[in-house]
Formats: sequence, C-alpha cells, structure tokens
Amino acid sequence: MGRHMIAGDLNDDGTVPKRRKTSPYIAALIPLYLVMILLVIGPLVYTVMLSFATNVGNGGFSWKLTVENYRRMIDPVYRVTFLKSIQLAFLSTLLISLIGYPFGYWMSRLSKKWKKIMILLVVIPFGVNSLIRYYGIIILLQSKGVLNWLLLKLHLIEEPIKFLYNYSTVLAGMVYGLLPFMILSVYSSAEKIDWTLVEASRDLGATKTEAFFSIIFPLTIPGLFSGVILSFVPSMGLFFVSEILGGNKIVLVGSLIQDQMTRGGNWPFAAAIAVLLTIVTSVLLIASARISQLQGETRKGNNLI
Amino acid sequence: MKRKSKFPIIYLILITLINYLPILVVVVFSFNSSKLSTVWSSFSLRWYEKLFSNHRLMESFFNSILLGLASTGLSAVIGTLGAVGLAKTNYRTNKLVAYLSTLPLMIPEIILGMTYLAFFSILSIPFGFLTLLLAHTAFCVPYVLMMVSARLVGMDQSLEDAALDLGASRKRAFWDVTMPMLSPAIISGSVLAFAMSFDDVVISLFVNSPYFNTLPTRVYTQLKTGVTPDINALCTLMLLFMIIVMVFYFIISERRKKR
Amino acid sequence: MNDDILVLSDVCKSYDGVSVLKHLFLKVKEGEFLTLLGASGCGKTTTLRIIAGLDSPDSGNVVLEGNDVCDLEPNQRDVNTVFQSYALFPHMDVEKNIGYPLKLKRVPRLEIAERVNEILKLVQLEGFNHRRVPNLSGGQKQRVALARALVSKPRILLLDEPLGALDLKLRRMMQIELKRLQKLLGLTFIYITHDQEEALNMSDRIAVMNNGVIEQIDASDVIYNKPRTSYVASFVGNANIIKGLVASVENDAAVVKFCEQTFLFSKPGLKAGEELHFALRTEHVILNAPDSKFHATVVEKSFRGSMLRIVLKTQCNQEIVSTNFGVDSKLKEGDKVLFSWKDENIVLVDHE
Repeated sequence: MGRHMIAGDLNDDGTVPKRRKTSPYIAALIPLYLVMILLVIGPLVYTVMLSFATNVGNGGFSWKLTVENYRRMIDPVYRVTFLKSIQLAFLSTLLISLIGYPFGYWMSRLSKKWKKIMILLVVIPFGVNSLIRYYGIIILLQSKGVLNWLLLKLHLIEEPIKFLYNYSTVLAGMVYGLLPFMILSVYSSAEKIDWTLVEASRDLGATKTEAFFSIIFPLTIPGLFSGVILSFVPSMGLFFVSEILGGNKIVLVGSLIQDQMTRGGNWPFAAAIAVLLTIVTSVLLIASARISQLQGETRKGNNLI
Repeated sequence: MKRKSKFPIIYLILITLINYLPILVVVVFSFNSSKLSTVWSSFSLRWYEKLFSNHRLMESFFNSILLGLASTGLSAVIGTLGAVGLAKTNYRTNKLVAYLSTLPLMIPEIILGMTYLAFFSILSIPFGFLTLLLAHTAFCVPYVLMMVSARLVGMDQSLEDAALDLGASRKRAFWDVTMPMLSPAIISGSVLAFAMSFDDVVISLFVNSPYFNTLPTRVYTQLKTGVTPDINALCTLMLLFMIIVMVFYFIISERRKKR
Repeated sequence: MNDDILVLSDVCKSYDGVSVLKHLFLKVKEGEFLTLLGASGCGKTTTLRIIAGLDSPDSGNVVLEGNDVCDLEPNQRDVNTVFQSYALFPHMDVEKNIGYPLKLKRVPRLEIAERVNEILKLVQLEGFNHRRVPNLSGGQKQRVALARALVSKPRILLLDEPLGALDLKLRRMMQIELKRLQKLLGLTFIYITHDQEEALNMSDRIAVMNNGVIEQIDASDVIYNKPRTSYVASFVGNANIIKGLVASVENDAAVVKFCEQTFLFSKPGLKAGEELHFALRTEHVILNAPDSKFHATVVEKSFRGSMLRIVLKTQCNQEIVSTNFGVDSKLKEGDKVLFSWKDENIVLVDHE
C-alpha cells in the first residue's frame, strides 16, 4: 500500500516524467471513423430527426416538429401490418433454427473431407442471385409448374394445387433464403467443440442425450444466437420475398416503408416506421441475447453441481 | 452392439436437395427453347445467344461486378486498417466505434436503404454509382472488420514483438508479419463482402438511379414485369463459374494439406 | 570503464494502475549468465520487455553500454529475445525465420544463406533449412528460436522461460546446451525462469525477484547458502523459516528463544526483545542426534524421487520439513522426535 502511494505521488508531481508514446495507429482509425460518422451515425440521426418532421405531401416535408407520424402507427391498418411482420419474422426465425441447427451440428460431425464438401454445397447457391432462386421457386410451384405437373402425372391429384401467393409460401421463402446463414453459424461453433468434453461427460455417466444438452448445446448457443440475428434481422425487411412469392397479398412493414419512400409518399412517416422497427428489433434481439446468456449460465451452473 | 444412426446423413442430403431444387429448375429451363417457363418444349441454346445480345442485362451484370469490386476494395482497406487500429490502441471509445461500425449488419436492410435515400437526398449527392458505392461500402466494412478483428484476437502478439526485437521497424513488422497472418481473414472478409454487395437488392433499390442498374435490381424489375429466360442462362453461367472457383479452391487446399 | 553492459536504475512500471515494477535497480555484467528468478507475476517478464524495448518504463533509466536507450525502439537496440512461445513466424520456413533479422539489416543474400547454415550447425539443426515451422517438434522450435535470436550477433540475449514448454528430459539437455552456447559465444544472457533448479544449474548470478523488486542478486551459491531474505530462502530451495525472539545478549552472541528452547546465535549488535527470522535448509535439519533439543511430532513421511521427506510439527505448531538423500528412517507418522541443526547452517534473514 505504502509503495503504491509513493509511486503515485511521484507521478502526480511530475518529478518523474511518464514516458508515453503517441500511438502510430491513430491514422489507421481515421477511415473507419469517417465511415462511422458519415454512413452510420449521420444517416441514422437524420432519420430520427426526419421522423419528427411534418409531411407536406408529394414527398415534401417541413421541419415543423410533430409526433403525428408516430401517432399514425396506431391506426389499425398499420398496426396489423407491423404485428404481422414481426410474427412472420419470428416464425421464420423459429423454423430456420429448427431446421438449420441439426443441419449445422450434424455437418460438424462429418469427416474432414465431407465437412469441406458440405460447406461448398451450402455456399455455392450464394453464387446464384437470390432473386433468381426465388424465381426458381415460382417455376417449381406455380399452378402450371413442375411440382403440379409431376403430381398430376403421378395421379396423386386431380387439379393443380395453388401453392403460391399465400402466407405459408412467403414463410417458406424466408426460410429458404436465410437458412444457410443459420447453418454456417451453428456449424462454426459446433465445429470448435473439444470432443473430449463430450467423451468426459459420457465417461462420467451421461447418456447421449444428456451429453448433448449438458455439453454440446450450451457450447453452441453463441452460434445459434448469431444465426438468430442473421435470420431475424433480414426477415424483418425482405419485402421482395412477399412481393414475389406472396403476390402483394401480404403487405409487410418493409413494403410499407418502400411505398412511402418511392411513390411520392410520406417520408417522415416512413422514417417513423423505420425508427419504430429498429427499436422493436433491437429490443427483441437484446432480450434473446439475455435469454441465451442466462441459459448458458444456468447450464454452466447445473454442470458444476 | 453400437450402430451409427443413418438419420443425420439422410437429413443432410434431403435438405441439400431441397436447397438445390429451385436452382436446378433455373438451370434446366435455361436450356428450354420455349419462352414460357412453364412448359418444357425442347433443348436449345438460344437463350445463351440472346443473353449476349441483351445489352441492358449485360450492362447491369458488369455494373454489379464493378460496384462489388469497388466497394469490396474500399471496405477491405477501411476494415483492415480499422481492425488493426482498434486492436492496437487503447481508447475508451474503441468499443463504441466497433459497435457503431458493425451496426449496418444489425439493422434491417430496408431501414438502411430508406435512411440512405433520405440522407443522400438532403446532402444532394446525385443518385447513381457514387451513392451505391457509399451504401455498399457501409455494409461491406463490417464483414472485413469482424473477420480481421477476430483474427487479431487469436493472433500471438509475441510474433510482432519478435519482429521488432529482431530489428524490424513497426512498419516493417506490420508488413512482414502481421499482414501475412491477417491475409486469410482479409480475403474471407472481402469474399463475403463481395458476395453481399453482388447480391444486394433492397438497399440498391433505394439508392440506384434509372441510369445505373445493378443485376439484382434489373432482375427485380423483370420479376415484376415479366422474366425472359436469358436471365436463367446468365445465372447458370454464374453458377458454373462459382462451382469452378469452389472446386478449384477445394483441390488446392486438399493438395496443400498433403504436402 | 566498468564492465556493466546494462544498467537499469529506478525503473517503475504499472499497468492499469497496478504497479508491476517498483523502483527496480539492476546491473548486468558483460558476458555473464544472469537469471531473473521469481514466481509468476513478480515482474520478471516486464523487466525483460523493458530491456528489449517492447514496453517502456513509466520512469527510470535503461542504459545499454553507456547509452540511455529508453527512447529507442526495439529494432534500434542490439538486444534479441527468445520468446516463451518461441514466436516463430508460421508463414516462413526455418531458413526464412532465421534469416529475417539479417534481411532487415540488408545483408547480401549469399551471406545470409551462409550465416544461417553456420548457426544451424551451432544449434545442431543442419539440413532443416526448408522445414515448415508447424512441422517442428518443441525442442526443434526452441533451437530455431535460439538461432534466430543469435544470428545477428546481439550484445545481449534475453530468454523468457524458453524451456517452459519442454518435457523434463529435454529441458535438462537444453540447459546444458544453452550454457555451452553462452560460454562458446561469450555472450551476455539474461534468463527468466520460475524454476529454481534451472536457475541454479545454469546461472553465474541469480536475481531473485518478488513483488516488483529484486530481493537479492548474487552468485548462485551465495543465493543458495546465504539468502538475505526469508522470501529468497523459501523460494530457492524451500528453506524452513524459523522465528525466534532474542531473550538476552551476551558479548557478541544472542540467546534466541524458539519453541520453549533456546539456542545461541553469534552476531554483534542484536538487542534483547528483537524478533529474528532464520533460514534453515531442509537437508540441514538433524533428527534425533544426541544433542537435539527441539521437540516435534512426525506428521508426514514421503519420498520425492530419491529424497526422503519428513514433515514435523513442533510444540509451538510450526511445520519443519526435513529431507535426506537415500537413507530410509524407521520413523513413522505420530512418532515423537527431537531435532536440531549445526550452528553454521542457520542464516539470519530479513523478513518483510
């Protein structure tokens, strides 16, 4: 304690000059700061400001501050759209997790060579424009499409089934488009697991299922969580999926914003929707981060006992 | 008697098949002589011929490549410098900067798109290549930044110390030791960034101009107005290219391992 | 001109408000093998990094061959380090790694190749030029790291626990090897370790560090036989620390009270009522000799290698450890014993 005091006093006095080199790495940060200020903070702050501006029609607005834009969200039309979008994003994330988690996990259990091949197989579709892949779904599922043709040929159905343009197709489209992200992030965390941990737990008397839930699952939670972010966030905004596969019958909040922004609409209102959507997304993500953290901790605790 | 369950393998194959089905359909129909994508008439290469005479489609394809390369290059530099800067300095703001810089990945694309539309119009930046470049750079930087940062965390600091100790200047140590160690991360971050830029529809729709279309925005308009099968042909070629690159990469990495 | 190649004076260093080095002084003689010995966290690695220039001190001076080098970058100092993790560049082969410092000095290519081969011979790795670093064994990596640090002929070689990752047999071999190299090259080595045996085996002098200061710096045998503080005594050779009270003083000797008994200790200037600490090496504890007078009970008996180790508990509840080579004893746990020591084997030490 005494020695600490002495050292501190000396430095405060300035009798013993402190050598501190200015870091040469400051310059490296300048471009990042520029990007952050000009392309992240600036636009976002501006959007928040815009959401309080007054719409004067025809895409114009004035800086008379108002909360009208936010009040309008309570209108049933918009409220329903908003809730439906969240519901869709939630459902697709759930489905993506349920399908993608086992895929990523089992992939990590393959031999080294097959792991590599599977990664290639998961990644290659990214080489095809995602819109084209949706187009492929249309070719496949439309009433005169490949699937109906096949089913008719096999005499499994009498009439073509209308697969397209409803809620479940949009949901399936979301799952289809975002699944690879979940697979890859679960895979990357499952791949890192030290398998001797699992062997140790088996050795200590855990069944395969117990070993999975006490060792593997807690260790893959970070991967699962980043997969959830990578699927939940985009699914809030992929308006083109509902446009293409839902035939504009299902209006999502994304389409709403796009409408307001492009067709000479109401920019302040669009900004207000965007701000609200961001808040809701962040709250949900923070909540799920908390839950996955808690899960991890209680599991850790259980293991200790 | 222990036996491995076949279920996981079946599951992997099944999901992969479903994943490839729409792509397969696109490939098959690129060889269809009929203009309609509903009926198969006969094998033909006419859409491949048509593709090369479809200037607007080809133009948007090259626009996308140009935009992808430019924004990837820019973000590779910014992201790498930024990651190194964040790792090597000890400012209290570093955490906040890292968080804010990766924010474009945490915000739904639709919001990012509308935000840029509003922001660029108030700054009266003319819409076109420049606005696309800015917007794409904004969401490409985080990929490089995250990849390189992760690599820096895992990197043995004593390697750089050793270079300094053996007589290298800081600059020299960075180029001789740090950069070669970071290059896999920079490359994978850049590849990811390029893929995202090349495939982006939502943000591009907001900040493009009628005179500068990217491939995805062109396809988007066609999907709403009517698709011609030369797009199928283009995508088949792109897929082929992707497969060749991937298989090449696979063979090289297998060979390197054996050495 | 004195023969100190390196002088550290009044060096302080703290990280995030925790002071790691507290007014450290150190003089290193040209051509000696000096070991900084201490437990982890005592500041020995920080000292090394400050000498190398990888960290700069908050205050104080580092003088290398008469020049203050505090403001010099590590690459401007003629001091090389063998890192604990070896820090071999994984993207370069053995030859490129070793040739790196020469390349930086713009030595011509042919000469680089020549000198690399020369040094490879010296560390007994001839023909390893194009091996890839990840394919080397621990001992080989160690030799490459050594070669790389030596090839540019530094004035001082710093070694940061270089043998820590090797197994016992290899470590013994490398100890001999390192000592041989140091003598052969006549180079100043500053060696860091927490292993007292390693320090005693190799060093000309040992500096025992504790809590950011050097407690004692002396030749190895002095450190072992005449520890100055209780920390040095117990860290080097695990000596027993005996706490006694000066009961009375007669001429130049004191009557010291310990465990209901007394013994004589000759030293001028002691005062009655003073509390003293003595170091007593475990091998100097004598059991059941005719003149033994301190009472104790055997609480543990075990073999450590070829050494018999007996733990005693004195009447006043202090543990005393006794060790003996190769002699089994009939004593068993619970037995009452008497113990003592020879007067010349007890050393007065400072106690913090």
